[in-house]
Amino acid sequence: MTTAESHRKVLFVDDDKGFLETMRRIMDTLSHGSWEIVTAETTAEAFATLHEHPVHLVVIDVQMPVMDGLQFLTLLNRRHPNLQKVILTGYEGTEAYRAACLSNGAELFLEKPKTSATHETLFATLNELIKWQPEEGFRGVLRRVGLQDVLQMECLSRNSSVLEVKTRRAEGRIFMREGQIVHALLGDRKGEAAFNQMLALRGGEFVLRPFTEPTEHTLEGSWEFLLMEAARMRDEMGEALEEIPEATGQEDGQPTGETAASDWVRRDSPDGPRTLSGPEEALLAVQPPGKVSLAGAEPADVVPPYAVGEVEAPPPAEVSMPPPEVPSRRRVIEEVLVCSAQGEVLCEWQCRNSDLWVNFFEFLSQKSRRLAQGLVLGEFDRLEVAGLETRLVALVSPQRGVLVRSRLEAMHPTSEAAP
Amino acid sequence: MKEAIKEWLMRMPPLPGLLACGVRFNDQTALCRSYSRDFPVVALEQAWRCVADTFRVLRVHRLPGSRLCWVYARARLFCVRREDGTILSLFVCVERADWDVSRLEGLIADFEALPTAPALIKQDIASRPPTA
Repeated sequence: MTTAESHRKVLFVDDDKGFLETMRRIMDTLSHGSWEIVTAETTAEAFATLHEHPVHLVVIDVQMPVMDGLQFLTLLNRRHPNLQKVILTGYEGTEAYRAACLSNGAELFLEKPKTSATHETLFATLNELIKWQPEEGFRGVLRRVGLQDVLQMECLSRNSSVLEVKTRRAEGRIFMREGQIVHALLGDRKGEAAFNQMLALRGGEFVLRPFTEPTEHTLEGSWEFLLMEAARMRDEMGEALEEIPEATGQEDGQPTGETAASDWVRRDSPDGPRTLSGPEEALLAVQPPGKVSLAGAEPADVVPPYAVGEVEAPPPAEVSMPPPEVPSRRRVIEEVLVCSAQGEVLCEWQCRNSDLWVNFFEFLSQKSRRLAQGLVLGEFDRLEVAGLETRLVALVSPQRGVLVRSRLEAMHPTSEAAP
Repeated sequence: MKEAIKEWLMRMPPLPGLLACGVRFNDQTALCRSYSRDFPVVALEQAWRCVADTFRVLRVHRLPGSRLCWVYARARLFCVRREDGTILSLFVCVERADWDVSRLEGLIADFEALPTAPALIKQDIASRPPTA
């Protein structure tokens, strides 16, 4: 092992300065100097550190002022999806909170060490984790970044940049200097009116450009306050605030295979702007397992719940460990989602929360590779989940994510229509 | 409860195609049995943790499935979670001619019938996220 390989940089983020100092001292001793410990007392400081120095592992305290560990983790995962992240907590945390952390990119959820023995355990655990560096896989989080997220990340990193926003009807700009939002422009509006209007947009394109000095400064105060105020305005004014510049694909007669509430495209993406494929095309390209043919699917708003039993029963060999099925029941597909590896929703059908599932694809992509570490398993194909009545199949490949959720339904003559 | 499961795992008859198996308990301790050099115990413990994480995340996604099957090119990983949070995981090569899914089902039924820890079930139910 070369020196470069053995040298690891670990960032600890905690608002407790004393704890950070203890960690620095103890981890340095336990690693015999092979770890370089970097610390940050605030999330803003952490983003600034990461911006300047890449690290191998980030250890995050759950309870921090301004932005808690989960919020920070979520933003961090969007910006650095392949960076290993560990949550450290002084309390046990609820099951839901732990799961939310795991779902948002945390590799481990650990308790803060209190004795020398637990310090050694923590070091051993982190040291084991640090040996494994995640590969690139499904990167949905990169594309599911909205305007608010970009602004937060830019401000937390204390960056200077201009965020250009474009819809079919208008173009706008938000100027940020050293992490402060100083000016906003949208059509003939400027200042808070323009800023709030842009934050209320439900879709469009955006691109981050190098900072140029604006002709005037129309915004002042903290960026946190500006974002909160924009959120409040959006809640209070609702559609009236979005009215002017918002444009939808339907106006141009383009297909709208999804109905995500927030639909932003980074223009600087190597793939270029998002293009939507028709449901048939997307589903035919990646056939869900079980030979369930959906080629005849109609547009999402008119398709009745799809009953597999009415088309072609899935062959038993393809469906592993099925729960016992009663003959008087049929399997009904309830939800279908197809998205690109960048998290673009290519096709969705009755999806209640596509963002949640895209997040799950990201989780599954990482977990399937982590699970296979050290084992001779070959390439991962899919995960099948079976409950008492619900079944889910999730395929994740470097190119695509496909999810089909189905449910067993009693076959009564009067229950043909789904609930 | 742990002892009963440990004993059951140790005397479990080898299934055709079984490469490795193990149990992870709610207290994060684990048992492993490997039948192949390609499935070392250290890597298995790691795999069991990934499985437990996945069950946990699925419940947050309002999909409290009790069975998982991870399909890889060379093997499948079948996982069953009991109400007390104990998880049985089995790596199996299903390409073998003598592969028999009914024997796997039998094993799972045996595992599910093993004694549970009432206190753990109570704790498990209490920690579940609210349903829609």
